[in-house]
Amino acid sequence: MLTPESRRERFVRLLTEDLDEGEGVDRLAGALATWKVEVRSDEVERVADRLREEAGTLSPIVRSLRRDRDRPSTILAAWLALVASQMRFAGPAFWLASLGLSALGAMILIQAPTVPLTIALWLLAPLLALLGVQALFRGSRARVVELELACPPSPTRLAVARLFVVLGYDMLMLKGVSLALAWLGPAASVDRLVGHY
Amino acid sequence: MTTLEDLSDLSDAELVIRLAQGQTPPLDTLVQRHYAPLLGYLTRVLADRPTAEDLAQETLLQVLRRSTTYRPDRSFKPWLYAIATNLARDFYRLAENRNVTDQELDEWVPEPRAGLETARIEGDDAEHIRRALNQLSLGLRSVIILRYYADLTVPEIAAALELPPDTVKSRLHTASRRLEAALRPLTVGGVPC
Repeated sequence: MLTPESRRERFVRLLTEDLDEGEGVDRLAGALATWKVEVRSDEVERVADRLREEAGTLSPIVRSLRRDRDRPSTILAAWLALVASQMRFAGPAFWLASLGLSALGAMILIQAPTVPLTIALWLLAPLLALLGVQALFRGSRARVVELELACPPSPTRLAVARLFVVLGYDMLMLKGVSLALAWLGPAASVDRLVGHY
Repeated sequence: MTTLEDLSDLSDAELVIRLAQGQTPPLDTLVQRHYAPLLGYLTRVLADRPTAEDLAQETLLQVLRRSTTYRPDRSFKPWLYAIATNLARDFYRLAENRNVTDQELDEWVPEPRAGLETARIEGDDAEHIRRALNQLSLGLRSVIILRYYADLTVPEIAAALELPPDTVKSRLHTASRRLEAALRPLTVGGVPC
């Protein structure tokens, strides 16, 4: 606690720093130093209690997220959880249609080996991409974009997580198709197929 | 388990970061450090102790709620006093039913709120300085109180009030001169009039 004299000296110092001329500084400092606002210790305690009470009203989920959010393991786990949640978002139609397209491509290559590989890919790859884009931006068609914008993960993170799901699925599926072809057909075809994809 | 003694060595920014992580002990340290100067600032700006108490508490609640948005590269005190100043402005807008911009509010001189005890008055000088401060516009009043009572530097005041530092200096000069002029007749020849 500053004494009246030290308060006055402090005001003199600050006023002298700020004002060019020294006239009146002492008088003004003296007047400023006399106006005190008393704060009782029980008042401070009461405010601290009120704030602790408020802090306790934050939901356990929010507090847990805040406590853990900066840990690397939590960041990875949160990312995987977000990706997992977006797998549900894609819907069964996407999984089945993508699988059907890939199977169709594989059947074309097996049944009609004379068809150039690039033509098969030109026909099928855009359809796979179309399905992926539809899965990514399904929210706008389902009129839940506002809900997505209100989610704790940002729209960018949501989009990246969905991209991860869609591309991950496509890559795994095509890898599976390639392995199936390798088992059924000549290895050279497999190399070409995987290379093109 | 972190003790209160450990926390007293931490900076304000570190305390707010811990608050954002869900820890509650930093609250006590922040309140101990900042409640009294904050209440002093709001009491002097509003000239109304009960309202100042409410707004000081609300300011600290806002700190708690907004702790996740706090940028550690920004000084804590300007952030704290920016919240307090905005709450004081909102209070005046509501109390006076005035839909005005911050700039218009800064130039406004509120009517003294009669019958409200604002502070412990120690003699005539304190009463005179209180009256003199209440005659200043809100903008001038805020600047001088932040500088001399809340102990903020000019750049910190500029950050808190979102003003250029030169404007803060100019306001400080104007406000000091007006306060000095308001006090001068009272001590002509060393004898209070």
